[in-house]
Amino acid sequence: MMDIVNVRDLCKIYKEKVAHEALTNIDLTIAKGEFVGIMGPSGSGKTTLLNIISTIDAPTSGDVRINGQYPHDLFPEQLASFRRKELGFVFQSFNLLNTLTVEENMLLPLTLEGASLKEMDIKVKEIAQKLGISDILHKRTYEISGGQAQRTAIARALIHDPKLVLADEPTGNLDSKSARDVMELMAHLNRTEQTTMMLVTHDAMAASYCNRVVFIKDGKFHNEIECGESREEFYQKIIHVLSLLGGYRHDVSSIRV
Amino acid sequence: MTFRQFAFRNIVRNKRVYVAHFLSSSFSVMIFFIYALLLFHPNLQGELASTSITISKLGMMAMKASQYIIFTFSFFFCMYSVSAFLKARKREFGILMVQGMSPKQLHQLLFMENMMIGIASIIVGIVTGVVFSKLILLVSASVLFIRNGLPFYLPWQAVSLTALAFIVMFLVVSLLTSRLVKTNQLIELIRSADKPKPEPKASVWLALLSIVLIVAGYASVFYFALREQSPYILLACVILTVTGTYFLFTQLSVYVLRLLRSRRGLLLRKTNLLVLSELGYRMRDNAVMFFMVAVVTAVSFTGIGTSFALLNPGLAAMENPYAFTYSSHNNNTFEAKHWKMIEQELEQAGFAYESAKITAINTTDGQALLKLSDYNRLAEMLGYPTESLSDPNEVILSPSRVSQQTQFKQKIMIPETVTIGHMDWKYDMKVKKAATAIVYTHNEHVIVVPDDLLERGLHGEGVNAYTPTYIQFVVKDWEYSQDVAQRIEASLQKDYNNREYMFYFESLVTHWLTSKQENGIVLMVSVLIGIVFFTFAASFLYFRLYTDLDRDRQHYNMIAKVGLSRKEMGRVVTVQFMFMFFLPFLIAVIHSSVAFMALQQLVSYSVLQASILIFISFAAVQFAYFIGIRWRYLRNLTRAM
Repeated sequence: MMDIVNVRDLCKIYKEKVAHEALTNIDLTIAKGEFVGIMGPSGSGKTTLLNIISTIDAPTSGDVRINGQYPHDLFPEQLASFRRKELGFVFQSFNLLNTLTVEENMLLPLTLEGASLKEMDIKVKEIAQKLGISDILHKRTYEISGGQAQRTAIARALIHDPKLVLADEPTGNLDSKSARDVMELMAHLNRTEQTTMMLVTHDAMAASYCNRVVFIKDGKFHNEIECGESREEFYQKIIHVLSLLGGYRHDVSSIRV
Repeated sequence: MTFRQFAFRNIVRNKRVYVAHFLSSSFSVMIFFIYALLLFHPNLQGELASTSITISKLGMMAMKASQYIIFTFSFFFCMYSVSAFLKARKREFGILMVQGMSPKQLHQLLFMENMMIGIASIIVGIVTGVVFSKLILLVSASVLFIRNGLPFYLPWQAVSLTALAFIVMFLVVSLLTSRLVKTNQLIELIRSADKPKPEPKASVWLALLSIVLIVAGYASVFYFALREQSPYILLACVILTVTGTYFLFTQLSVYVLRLLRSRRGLLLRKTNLLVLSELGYRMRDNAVMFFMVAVVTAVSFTGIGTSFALLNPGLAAMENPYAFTYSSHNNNTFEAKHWKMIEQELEQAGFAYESAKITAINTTDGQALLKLSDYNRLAEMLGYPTESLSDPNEVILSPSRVSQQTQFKQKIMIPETVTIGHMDWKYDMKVKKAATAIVYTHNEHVIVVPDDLLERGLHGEGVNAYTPTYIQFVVKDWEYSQDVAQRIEASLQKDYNNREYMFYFESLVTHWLTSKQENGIVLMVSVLIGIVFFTFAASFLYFRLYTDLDRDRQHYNMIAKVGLSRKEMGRVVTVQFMFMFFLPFLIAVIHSSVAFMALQQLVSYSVLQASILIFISFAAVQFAYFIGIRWRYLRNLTRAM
């Protein structure tokens, strides 16, 4: 099977007043069609890892290869083209543009690519149906609920058939019902469309939808566990590892408002 | 949705953000267009030229200069407002780039946005300019005292000049500002939730220095007015005041706020905590902007006020109290005939008048000697007290300029004796007194001497002195004597001989109208520029508020959860806004009041009325603006709650 993400010996050092090593010698491989979760306590470096893989941030040393390319070596114009063809993003705070309607937000990657209007119409219809947001296509972002906003963001991330979807705490701003819906949707899309996904989360419930969860602590690889037959069992295993990582229960409760 | 549609929707659905930028841009386009309209107006050029070539040149120069000024300021203003937007929209750009927008596309987006707004404001500015142009031409004709009025014309030259100039300007602004976004640091853009900045250190010494500098600036403008009218002193005054104002906002205000915060009794009373801490944040971020607003406003106040003062008919009469002056030189043979003719003309036109013929002696030491009887005759005509001299060696000094008059009134530096000197001939005379009425203005040093001095002195000893004769006319309601003056001038023209310079005729009304026209141009130019500056200053405030709106919304949302009522929030915002809107305004009013007080020392009529009128009208506009913005801002803050 082909690898979509290949991270080798990755280090990230923030040189502020005191140099701080956020990631140390991280190796990570994600195969095509995999759904991988990254977990770890606050400040463990999981978001930094996601930001580097998603080309938002640059590594201090080490390699990141995505679908056979090294995006950090690309020129800005090529990098932009790489992002809009190969990557899709889902954020905790949705990051929708509030000047645009739901439909227009979804169309943004295609607009930037300069796709034809016909292609846009087909894609929007198709994906809106899959995600159950056909009714709100013409609403503005402040008229929809958090769950709907996150579905819109997922639709935007998937509309151009990216090789890799990156999700940063997608359930962080949602109530538990909406969070469950969003995770079920992502897992479903992963299974049916064979989209490779990488998820960073605090939430054991969200992580339990993955095929595999990688734990990092203090910027270093800790361990990883794979989902067996039962999701319930996987959830229990995740909780167990988190308690071993320490200080985690408090974090879990603190993110639920 | 194509890329162009996307750029368009981004603007149209975000009107609030762009409205101030758009309106002020349109406004400056309109003002520029008005100048162009006048500059190209065919009649205006003819009419102005007919009054005087120099004035017409001056007028054109002033129009051109103000066009350059408006244009330059519009450029900087656009740069400022566009970069303020870019700062506020960092996060949006981050999102777009994560979605795969390339740096090129981002620049393209910003360029398209700028050009759309630019072209829209050019169109709106020119259209409103054309709509108002009839009105503008009417007003200009009356301000410039053009009798026949200015007909409406379709100003295609003005339209094309304005459109061209501003398209170029918006292009340059678009190109420059789209480079301002750092596209290579995506993480910075996304994380641009602005981190709190450290409080600036205000130094006590610099805070005190600001007061010292401003006081020194004020002192020097009075020194300028009262003692020495040198441009260097005026320049020093401007530099001192501007520097002082800079420190006032960057140092003194921060220092005073810190002092207030250290008084716990005051700080912890009700909403004071919020007001003072928020004000601290705003002052620190906006000190430089406040400074600019204050200086720009003060400049426009002073400019407008000074031009108003120059328009006063008192100014012309103050310099020369006579409606007509006819002077003879070199044995003028026409004198008697002309005198009679002028009197006849005045009688025919129905003016009440008095006239007198006097002879003065100009000495080689540069003094003008005036016989006591001549002086008394003129003083009587003007309604001033007459003087007397008992001792044959006594003289009276008479002022010829306002500054001299002020000096004589205050009895400063009046000599005990004065030496009248003409070639080898010297007389030491005792100064009896210094009179305070301006009676004779043809020479700076005027000495009133006993009648017989001239008989026993100069003529007796055969000294050949230059003795011009003047026929002075005092006319009631001279302001309306323009027609008579023109008829007199026409009939004098017939006897005018180029080879021999024998007589000279001067009318106050012509002089007054000429200077009124000159100053009308100055007034119009300064009023328009003042209004443009004032608009820009107001827009700066709006941009600042918009940039902070998201932060403020979060801030007040949080406080509302802790238990701040809407009413209290309104109060907190109102107090802050009062400071932001009226502190720079107040400083500007104080600065220009001092300037007006100094101006008052130079003129004999009151400038109080004009200055109060200016302050009140600008304060009214500022207040309306304050109310409007406060309402909008509060509505925006509470909408999210």
